[in-house]
Amino acid sequence: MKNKEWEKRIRSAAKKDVPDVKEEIKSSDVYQNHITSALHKRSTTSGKSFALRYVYAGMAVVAVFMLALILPFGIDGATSVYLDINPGLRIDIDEEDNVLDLFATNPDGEDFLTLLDEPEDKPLDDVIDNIIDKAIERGYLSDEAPYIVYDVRGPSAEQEERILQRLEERLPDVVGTRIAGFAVMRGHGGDETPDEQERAQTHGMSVMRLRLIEHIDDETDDYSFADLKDLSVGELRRIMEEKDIPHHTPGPPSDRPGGPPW
Amino acid sequence: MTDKRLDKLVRAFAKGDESAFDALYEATSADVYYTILMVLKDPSLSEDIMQDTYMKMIESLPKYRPQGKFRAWIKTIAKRLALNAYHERKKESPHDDDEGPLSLLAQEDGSEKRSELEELMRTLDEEEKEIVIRHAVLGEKHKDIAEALARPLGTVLWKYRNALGKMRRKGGAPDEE
Repeated sequence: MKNKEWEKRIRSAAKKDVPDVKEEIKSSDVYQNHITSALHKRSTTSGKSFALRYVYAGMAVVAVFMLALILPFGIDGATSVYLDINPGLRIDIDEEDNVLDLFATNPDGEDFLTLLDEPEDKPLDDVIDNIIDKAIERGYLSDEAPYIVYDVRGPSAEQEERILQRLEERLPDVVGTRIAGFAVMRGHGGDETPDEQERAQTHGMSVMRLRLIEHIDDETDDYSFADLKDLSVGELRRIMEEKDIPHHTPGPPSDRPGGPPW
Repeated sequence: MTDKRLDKLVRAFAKGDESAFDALYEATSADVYYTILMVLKDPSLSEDIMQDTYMKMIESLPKYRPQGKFRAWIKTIAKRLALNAYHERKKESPHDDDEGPLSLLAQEDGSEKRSELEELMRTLDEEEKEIVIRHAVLGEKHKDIAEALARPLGTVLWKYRNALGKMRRKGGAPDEE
C-alpha cells in the first residue's frame, strides 16, 4: 500500500518534469498541414447528399439484422476458458466446444496471440495444443515454470464442468511428458464474489490468479501487488516457498475436487 | 485515460479537432518523454526527439488503426526515433561512453534548483533511478526491465524495493500519509 502511494507521488513528480513542447509542435508545418487538410476533407465530406447517407444507414441496419440472425446466441452466450501460463488468454467456445475467438487477458498475452495459428472454428483441444507448443517454445512453460492455472466460465453448468474435467485430465497428459513436475491449478467461477470478478477484470487476470497474488501480498510485506501481478505462476510459487507462505487461498473451499494444492 | 478514450481523441484529431491534440499530448507526453530519456539518458536531446515523435505521429496518423493501442504505438515511434538519435550520436562521437553515463534527470542549463523528481530521487544511483522511472512512470514490468538492463529479475526487484525504501527514508512521507 505504501509503495503504491510512492509510485503515485513519483508519477506526479515525473509528469511535472516533462518538457512542454506542445506549442512548438503546433506551430510546425506538419501540424498545420494536417489541420488544414483534415478540415478541408471534412468540409467536402459534409457536402455528400442526404440521400446517400440514408442508403448507408439502411445498409447498416440490414447488416445488424443479418448478424443477429447468424449469431442467435451472440458472443455473450459463449463459454470462456481462461488459461494463465503468464501470457493470460481467454478462449471463447461455442456449445460444440469449437473456438469462436481468442483474447489476451494481460500484456504478455497480447504478444503471445501473434504467435498462434488462426483459432476460429477449430476444436478447443487443437487450439490448446497450439498454445502449449508455443508456450514451451517461448519458455513460458518450462521445468522452472511448470504450471498452468485454468478456469472455465459459461452459461451452461454441464459444459463448464465437462471442459473443466477435460482440461484437468488432458493438460497433464499433453504437457506432463514434456515438462518435468508439471501441475495444473484449477479455479472455480461459481464461488467468486462480484468484487473479485471486478478486480480480476481490472487487472486482466483470472480470479484464481488474483486470489493467489492477494494471498502472497497479505502474507508478506516484501512484495506489493504491483510487484507480483506480472510474475509467472512459477515465480509466484517460488516466492511462496522462499517466504514460507502457506499454500491456501482465502475465499473458495480448498478441498474441492481437482482444486489447487494451496 | 482509457485506451478507448485515447482512440476517440485520435479520431477527433484526424478530423482536425485541435483540442483533441491537446488532450492526446497531455495524456501521453510523460510516456513519450521518459521512453526517449531511458534510451538517450540526455534530457536536452530527449526534448528534441519528443517533438520529432509527435510530428512523426501526425504524419503517420493515416496508417494508424484505432484498436486501443495508441499509447503503445506512440511509444514505439518514440523509441525508434530515440534509437536512431542514439546511433547518430554514437557515429558522431564514438567514444562518448568513455566519459561515463549522462545523468538521467540533471538538466544541462546548470540550474541549481532541483525539480520535485530530482529531489525525490536524490539518494538513488543512476540505475535505481532508471528502474524506478521504468516501473513507476512507464509501467514497465520488472521482468522487462531486467531484460533491458541485462540484470537478473531478483536484482531488479530488490533494487526497486531498495530505491523506494531510500526515498521513503530520505524523502519524507507522501502528502497522503
